[in-house]
Amino acid sequence: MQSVLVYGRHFARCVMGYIPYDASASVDLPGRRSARRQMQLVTASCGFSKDSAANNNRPGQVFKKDIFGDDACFVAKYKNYDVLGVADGVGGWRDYGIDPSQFPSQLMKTCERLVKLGHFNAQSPVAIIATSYKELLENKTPCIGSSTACIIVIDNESKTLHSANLGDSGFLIVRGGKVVHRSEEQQHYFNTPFQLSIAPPGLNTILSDSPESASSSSVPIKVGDIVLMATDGLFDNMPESLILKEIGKIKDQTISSIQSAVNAIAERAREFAYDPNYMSPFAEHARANGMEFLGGKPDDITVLISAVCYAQDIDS
Amino acid sequence: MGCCPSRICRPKTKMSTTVSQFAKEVLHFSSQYGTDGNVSYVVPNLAGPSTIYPSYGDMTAACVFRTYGPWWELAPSSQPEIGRNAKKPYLGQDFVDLWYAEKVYPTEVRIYETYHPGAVVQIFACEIHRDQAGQIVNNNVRWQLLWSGRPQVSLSDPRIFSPPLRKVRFASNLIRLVVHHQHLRYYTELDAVELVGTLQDDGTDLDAVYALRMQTLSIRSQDDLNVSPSMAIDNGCFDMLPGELIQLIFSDLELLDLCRAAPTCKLFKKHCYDKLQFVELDLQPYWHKVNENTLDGLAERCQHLQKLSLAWCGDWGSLSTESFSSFILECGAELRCLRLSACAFLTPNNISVIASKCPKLEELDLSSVRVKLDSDAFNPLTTLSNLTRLNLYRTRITETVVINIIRNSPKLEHLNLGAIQTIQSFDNVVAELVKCKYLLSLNLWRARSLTITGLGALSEGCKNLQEIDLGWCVQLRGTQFSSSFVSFVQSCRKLRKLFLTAVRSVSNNDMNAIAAYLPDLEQLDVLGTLSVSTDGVQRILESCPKMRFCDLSFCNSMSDMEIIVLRAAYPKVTIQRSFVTS
Repeated sequence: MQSVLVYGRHFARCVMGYIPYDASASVDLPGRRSARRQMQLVTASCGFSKDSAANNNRPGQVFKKDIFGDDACFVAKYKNYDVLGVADGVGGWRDYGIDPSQFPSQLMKTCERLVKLGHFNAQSPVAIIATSYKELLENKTPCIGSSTACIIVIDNESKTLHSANLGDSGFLIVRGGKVVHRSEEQQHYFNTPFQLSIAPPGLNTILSDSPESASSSSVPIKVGDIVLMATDGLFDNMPESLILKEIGKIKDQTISSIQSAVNAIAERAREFAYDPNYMSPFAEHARANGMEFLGGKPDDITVLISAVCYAQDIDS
Repeated sequence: MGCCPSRICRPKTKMSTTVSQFAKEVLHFSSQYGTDGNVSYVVPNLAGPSTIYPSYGDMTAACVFRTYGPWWELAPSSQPEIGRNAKKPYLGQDFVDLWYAEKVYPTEVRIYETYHPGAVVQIFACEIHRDQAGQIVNNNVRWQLLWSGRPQVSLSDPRIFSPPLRKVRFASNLIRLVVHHQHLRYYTELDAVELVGTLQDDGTDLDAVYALRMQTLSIRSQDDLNVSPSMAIDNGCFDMLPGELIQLIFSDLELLDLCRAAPTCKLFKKHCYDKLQFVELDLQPYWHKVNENTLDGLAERCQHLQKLSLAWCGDWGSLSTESFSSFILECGAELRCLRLSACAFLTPNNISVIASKCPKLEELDLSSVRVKLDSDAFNPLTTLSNLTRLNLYRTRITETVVINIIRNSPKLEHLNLGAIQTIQSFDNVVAELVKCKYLLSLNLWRARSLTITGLGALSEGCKNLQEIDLGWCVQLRGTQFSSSFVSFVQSCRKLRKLFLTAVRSVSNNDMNAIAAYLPDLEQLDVLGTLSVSTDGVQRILESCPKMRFCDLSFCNSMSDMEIIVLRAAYPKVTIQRSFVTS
């Protein structure tokens, strides 16, 4: 019975993907259609909370859109820009009686709002993180917690991907089955990523990096590219080769095939995470740092996959 | 913002096309809770489609004004009323101007109210012109009243407020909402404002009676009357009354009635034009009617003018900087009080005219005047040495200028430096304030650079302080915070109002100090503090018998149940507890 429940939950999460940004959202007025074909993004997401497998009955665990355990994500569009973001909350706050998912989810929600309001500079996703962080400090509710953050802005006009990454979440750009660009991971030391924090007064030992310390990059992007964005729950458990293999199975750029690929990747990562005998990327890193460790790393997993394609011609 | 959906429907009848649209941009407003440039609790959130409705609660994405309820009027810093025996106080407390992309004849205004509704009291419309770059290129504006009503008692439900509108004569693209929130239990929050209207005048909506009324209500300079000789001699019973008595009767008239009475006869005109009838002049209630002719017409009557309020007046080209300057040149010599809140027309030149022609000025309100005035514009104000009350809320004044003004105004009693973002170090400003021995109230709302050094300086001087607003002074923190706060309350024992909104470091230790040293405390705000618990608050409620107001919203270490118990135990105190819904 338990397993049925678990499965029901997983199913529910998987279908909470994104409706693709269909052509009607970015139509050119008839007669004014530009000669160049517009680029657009089809995005789907999937994720698992660590607790949903290990401790299904944790009280207070409610389903919220775009929140997987202590991870949070968003997908938003403004004019010609598609913006995606993930954030991974630092679980240690649970020891202080603070819900670790609150900070990342508020952070992502605020980023989403800023994007929808057009309050951002596409060339500077770092500023989106920084502004969002400042807005959290403006909130009447004291929002305590820490989180990593990764944001990409895809400029469909100039066909460029601008990114900002703080911590160990990240993204890959896959072109023709190969990774052509990957984000830089930022760690203070093993298993301690860069992170944004708001600490309660009196607690001065909390690790807190400035939003500006995020690494940023701008790379050209082409129709046909696949952008995968995920929290460390994926990258720690699933080697890149396997991720590429799953991405290779995407047959067309419809939402359903993207969704099934993202579901497959997230589920594979979750299986690895709970396999005690598996030499995960995390275990390899641990060994490189002199720690004897085998198996996956149980963690929240959030994966977003976007396919870059041509906007459909609505007239035809 | 290209995201405003405008749905266009074409009914089959001959009626003209109806357009529904959300505001494209917020152009002007009088006050807000949040910080300029941010997106939390700011008035510009009113632009764009509804994002909160039908949720109900205290949301960051809403439009929130700076005050609510009676609490600000009950505080020591409350502005005294001015004007002619003000019997009917003006209802408007805040306003917001919303610009719409499509010009329409309004048929419906739908206001999405998502927290403590009932504040909107007036809706006006007008047409403004903008050039390609978005600059406003008006040189005059005609406001038309769409609706006006009493403030409503707040129900705790979200609603779309859509009052019946008067028909109007020309298409509009600017809507002004005037709100009154003194009767509300907490901040009113608005989500969006939808404007529905027709693209063409359907021909039947010319309300002649209303148009006529608008005309008669306008304040104009009165031409000399052509009264026939026989009428001029005989004023009936009024001739038997002593002049002083007529003067007294007329002093009870409202400004507009006084203007209307003037054309009756020469006797009335003499009394209505008497300069002593124009010692105090509050034009804020008539902001939509005040134009250059108004000031020209009033100038000759205002030679003894001592108090003037032009708050909210002169927007969108209805007053020119020249006409204001010439009015001040003519009538400024005796001015003691000048209120110019949200007067967007003011230029640096106006400020120097005020500074040089109004030597007796004691009270000056320049709140929310931002458009044309930057750092150096305020420099001439340093020559005013009689100031007792100065309001610089949301201006763009700089540290050096503020310090110079304070240096030259030793008599300052009330100073509002709230939400000024251009001051680099509030500590330096506060250090200068220590010399103002008479300071009664100090508003440092959102003084982001104020640290415990500044708080320390305050406790050395300013011992007569009755009111201080330290809300959102986020740099008031650190291990030394509590000790400097305790020494602050130890030296400022006359405090009646203390706002520590979102000063997250405030703890029970500070609550104990308040309970011990502030016997006169009436208002306390500790919203969003993490470690203040019921014990601390209870101690204050017990030892401060004059307590009337206490905001404990988002104090996470107190449960809702504890708040209910506190409310029951201290029924005289209004204990606030705001909430967010997801």
